[in-house]
This record gives sequence, structure tokens and C-alpha cells, in this order.
Amino acid sequence: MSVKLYDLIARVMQVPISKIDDTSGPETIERWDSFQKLILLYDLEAAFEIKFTLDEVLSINTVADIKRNLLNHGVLLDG
Amino acid sequence: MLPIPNERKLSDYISKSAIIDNSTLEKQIRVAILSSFTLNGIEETLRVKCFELKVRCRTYVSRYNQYNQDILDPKSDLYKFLPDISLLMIDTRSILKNLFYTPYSVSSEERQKYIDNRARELLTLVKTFTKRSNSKLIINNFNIPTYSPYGICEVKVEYGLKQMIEDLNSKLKSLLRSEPTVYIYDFNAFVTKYGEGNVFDYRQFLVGDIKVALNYLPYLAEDWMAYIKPTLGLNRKCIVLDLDNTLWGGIVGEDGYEGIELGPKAPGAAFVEFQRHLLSLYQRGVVLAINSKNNPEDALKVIRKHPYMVLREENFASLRINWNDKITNMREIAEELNIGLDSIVYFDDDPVNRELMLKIFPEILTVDLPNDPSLYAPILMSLNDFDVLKLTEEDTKRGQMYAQQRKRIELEKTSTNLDDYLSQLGIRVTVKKADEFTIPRIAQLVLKTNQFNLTTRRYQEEDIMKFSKEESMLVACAQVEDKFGDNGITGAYIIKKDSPLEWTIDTFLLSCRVMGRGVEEAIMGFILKAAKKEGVVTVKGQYIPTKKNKACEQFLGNLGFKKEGQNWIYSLHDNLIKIPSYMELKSE
Repeated sequence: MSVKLYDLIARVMQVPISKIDDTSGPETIERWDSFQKLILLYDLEAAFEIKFTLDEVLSINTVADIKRNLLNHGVLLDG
Repeated sequence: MLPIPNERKLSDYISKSAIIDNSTLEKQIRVAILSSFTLNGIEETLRVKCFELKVRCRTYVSRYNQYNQDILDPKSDLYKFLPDISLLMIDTRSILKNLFYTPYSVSSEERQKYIDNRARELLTLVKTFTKRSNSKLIINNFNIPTYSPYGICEVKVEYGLKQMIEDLNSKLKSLLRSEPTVYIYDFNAFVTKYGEGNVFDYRQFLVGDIKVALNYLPYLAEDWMAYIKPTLGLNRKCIVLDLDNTLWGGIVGEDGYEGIELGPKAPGAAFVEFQRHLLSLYQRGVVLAINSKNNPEDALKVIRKHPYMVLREENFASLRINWNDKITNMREIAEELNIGLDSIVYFDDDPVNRELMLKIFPEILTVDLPNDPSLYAPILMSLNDFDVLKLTEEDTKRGQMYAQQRKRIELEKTSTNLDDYLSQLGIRVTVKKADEFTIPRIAQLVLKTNQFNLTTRRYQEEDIMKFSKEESMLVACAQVEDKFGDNGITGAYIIKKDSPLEWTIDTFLLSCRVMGRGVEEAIMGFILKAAKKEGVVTVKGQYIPTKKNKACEQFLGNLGFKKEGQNWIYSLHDNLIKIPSYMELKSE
């Protein structure tokens, strides 16, 4: 599942997968602004068939945040 | 289920827009986007959609909620951008402000006054814009909220929340109807089509003032393409149809006349429904044709006699029912109807045929039909390729005109020679000055005519309107009739009066529908006579070759124009003006 997650992030943020890790976020990825983050979250919702709450949308800042919140929705990621 | 299949995600458009190179594309359009809320991502989507039509789309997006300032300031970047099309998007919340939430905090009279004022303000805004810009302006109407604090009693309230919006929408419609360059985008229908709960996402609204959810922006952009396509002359006018499993269920050659599915009960009802929508497009001017591998007797029996067939023989401008390959048939249909392949939309249930058509004729819009006839009608209705900015008389009569054309071809076949045929046709040409009635049609011809077009200069309706008012210019058109009927306005020209002694033919074109019958000579003869009457000595013409206008390469030379460098010069001293003898020519 991590692969799917990283694929999505790479596509939306237009960075190579190798550049993505848990700390990735607006500080490390140029295109990661509040708008691209919303687009990413929408794509994640569609891909994993979940719906983030408003608090989750606001609190997600890094890849680690995404993983934690996906887990809250029962999405299991490997690696 | 969404009516448009295969619409992509917003993120796909944004990623693609970063990598496309549209700088070499010939066709261009400048689009300004003005909005009362966040519409990030829409410009990237429009750029990609245009790129896929081989159009370079340049965009200007006004800053967040700055549409008013942009329009009111004559020196704003909006006007410097010189847009061709401007899209103004204002949402219901912004227009109603607090009354959106508490409409019943004021009396019904005050509510009415509020709406009157908003309508007037919008009209002023629109008029300010149209005075300062040549751009077309697309302004949305307002979506009617489904919620009311009065709940089921909403309908009992005098001038309630919903009625306020309905009234504003109807006021906008009547106030803007007569503005020639302003169009109302039916955003309320957009919300009805996709659902308020889908289009409006509270999280996106609260986080980023996004009032059209990100996943619905591609659908909104697609609706806006309906204005962009005809502005560039990219609209289509003909639907070519397969028969078996497309117009009826089953295979008539195998299942027989009685065995095909076509009738009031499903699945046959799906085909009846599809045909009914095709008929409505035919009645509004879309040309229909058949391209089918079949025994002609079997298929024609269904078309002529089947009790539930909606479309009949007279609805089709061309019928290619045979065992030839579909590519040859398609080429012949385009030739017979004298239309470009890029004007054709093709419906065929067979994916192999579709793939072949896509490969050989990529310019044809081959519709990706699913294996479910219940979706044929909604897919047909989702196409915005037939949209025109103005429905002219020629548009609505097109189907009828093509039927008359079939009769002309029959006469041509029985005539012994061309002169005999032409004199039997009894052609009458009426030259008409450009005015409010003819300008929309002239603009349409100028934007679309490829084959008999000496210079292929493309002008928008607003340009032509401007030319027609200039004393140094002459804009006119020609209506062509014959014994079979009225071809409508099928020729147009624009003349520049360079000096009292010299005129230049800026534009001279003729619809391919009437080409080769001497009409072109008659219209040119009319121009030359008019020039002579005004004391002009020389008339200058030009032939600018394109991939498509070989048909008129020899035209000026044949009429006695002499080539001098890039120009063709006609000396009114030396030449006699000829008008074909079998033709009646008059002017209005």
C-alpha cells in the first residue's frame, strides 16, 4: 500500500518517488502548497475509499501525517 | 452514474499541464477567468483540454475575489490581457451575503429590493466590461439552494429564498438577452446535473473557499469548452451512425426484420430513446448520415417500414449501406456532403470499427460507446461539440437543405452536361449588406469555411460588426436559392477601400454547399461592377494557400485577375465583367 501512496504523492507533487519519505511536506517538496495538498487528499480519498474529517485535512502536513491518518481509517500500509 | 464517461481527475490535468508544449500550435485562444471564490486548477484543466484540440490556450486569472476591481479599473491587467473569452463566476453565497443564511430577517419587499439592486449592479458590471473589451463574456446564473430555514413551508412564503434566486436568474436572462457578446452559463443546471452534495464540499469550502469541489472542476471546464469550441470554429455538424446495435439492437441480417430490438419495451426502448434525441438534434440542424455494413434491402426495410423506427430515410443526408469498408464509406460521405472530416461525430457499437476510424481519421470524433445501449442517449446529450454561439436560420434548416441537395445530385445525374444542369437549377443569388440579421451567419462562415476561401482570415462576430460600420470597408453576404429550395446565406466577402481608385478583397468565401455552380463568379462580378460604379480603377485580390483551399487556387486567374507579386490585380479599364447567363443576380 505504501507503493500506491508514494505513487500518488509523486504524481500529484511531481517529484520522483525516491525523493519521498516520512518527513516530506511543504518544506521539502516545492509544489506542496495548501492547494496541492487538498488535491492530494482528494486523490487519496478516491484511491483508498475513505473520507478525511475537517480536523484531519487541517492537521496533515507531512507524509508521516498522511500515513497516521490513513491508519486511523483502517488503511494498512506496509514498510 | 456520471453522464460523461472517462472524465479525468483534476490532478491529472494539473500534472499534464506542466509538461505540455503548446507554443507551436497555430490556433490560439485567450481566456480570462474572473471569480468570487477559489477556482485554482481550472486554468490548467482548460489548457490541457484546449491542447488536446490542438489549440494554445493562454489564461488570465483574476486575483482572489477581485473580479469587480478588475472589471471596473480600465487599466487593469484583465484588459491588458486582451481576452477572447472571459468567464465570470459568482456564487450564490457571495451575491446574497447574509441573506443567504437569514433571508427572513427582512421583509419580502426588502428581499425584492435587494434582488433588484443586485441584478442592476450585475448589469452595470457586464456593460462596463463589454464597453471596454471585445471579449465574449460568459456569466453564470446562480444555483438555487435546496435548503431553506422554512423547510417545507418555503413554498408558502412570499418571495422566499428560492424565489429570490429564481427571480435574479430570470432578471439576468431578460436583461442580458440582447447583449450580443454576453452569454449566461447555466451553472444551476450544472449543480442539478451533478448534485449539490457533490459539487459543494463543505471541507473544501471551509478550508479554501472552494465552492466547486476540486473533483468537479474538470466537468465545469468541459462545460466551458462549449463556448471555446465554436469561438474557434471547432464545432461539429454531422453525426455518422452505424445501424446494427447502434440504431437498433441485434443484427438485421441475422435476426431479421421482426427479430431486432426496437420498440417500447427495454432493451428496444433504449434505441428508441437514442433515436429520439438524434431526431431533436436533426431538427436543430445537425446532419445525420449512415455508414453501415449491411444488405441495403434488409436495412432499408427497417428504416422505411419498422413501426418503432424514429428516424426515417428523409432524415439522412447520406446513406452508405453496403459491404464496402467503413473507411471508404466515411470518405465518400464527407465528399458527398462536402464537409470536412473534422465536422463529423461517429457512433458505432463495434470497438474494432471505432479503433480503425480513430487510427485512419483522427480528426473525426469517434465516440467511445459503452456496451450498454441505455447509455447511448445520455452520452449523445453530454457532447458539447454541436454547440454554436448563435443559432442562425441556416443552422436550423440544415437537415432540410441536405435533403434538397440529394435531389440536386439526382438532377445532375440525369442532365446531359453541366450547362444544361445549371440552367435547369434556376439559381438566384441575392447580395445582402451585413446587418444585425446577417452578421452572425457571416461570422460563422468566416470562422468555418476552409475550401473556397481565398485568404482564410478568421474574424470574430465582434470584428465583423466593427468592419460593417466602417466607411472604408464593405461587408456583405450572398443568399443562394434554386428550384429545389433555399441554400441560405452561403457566400460572404469583406472589401477594404484603400483609396477612391483601389479596393482590396480582404475576404472572399463560399460555402462548399454551393461551390462550382457559378455562384462565385456571380458574386465577384457583383463586386467588380460595384467597384466600377464608384470609379475604382483596380481591385486587388489575394490567394493565401492553406492545406484545404486548393479549390479556389485558379479562381482569380480564371476571372482575368493578373498576378503581380503576392497579389492578383484586376484592371477595371481593360476587362469586361461577366456574370453567368443562367443566373439571376440581385442585391438588397
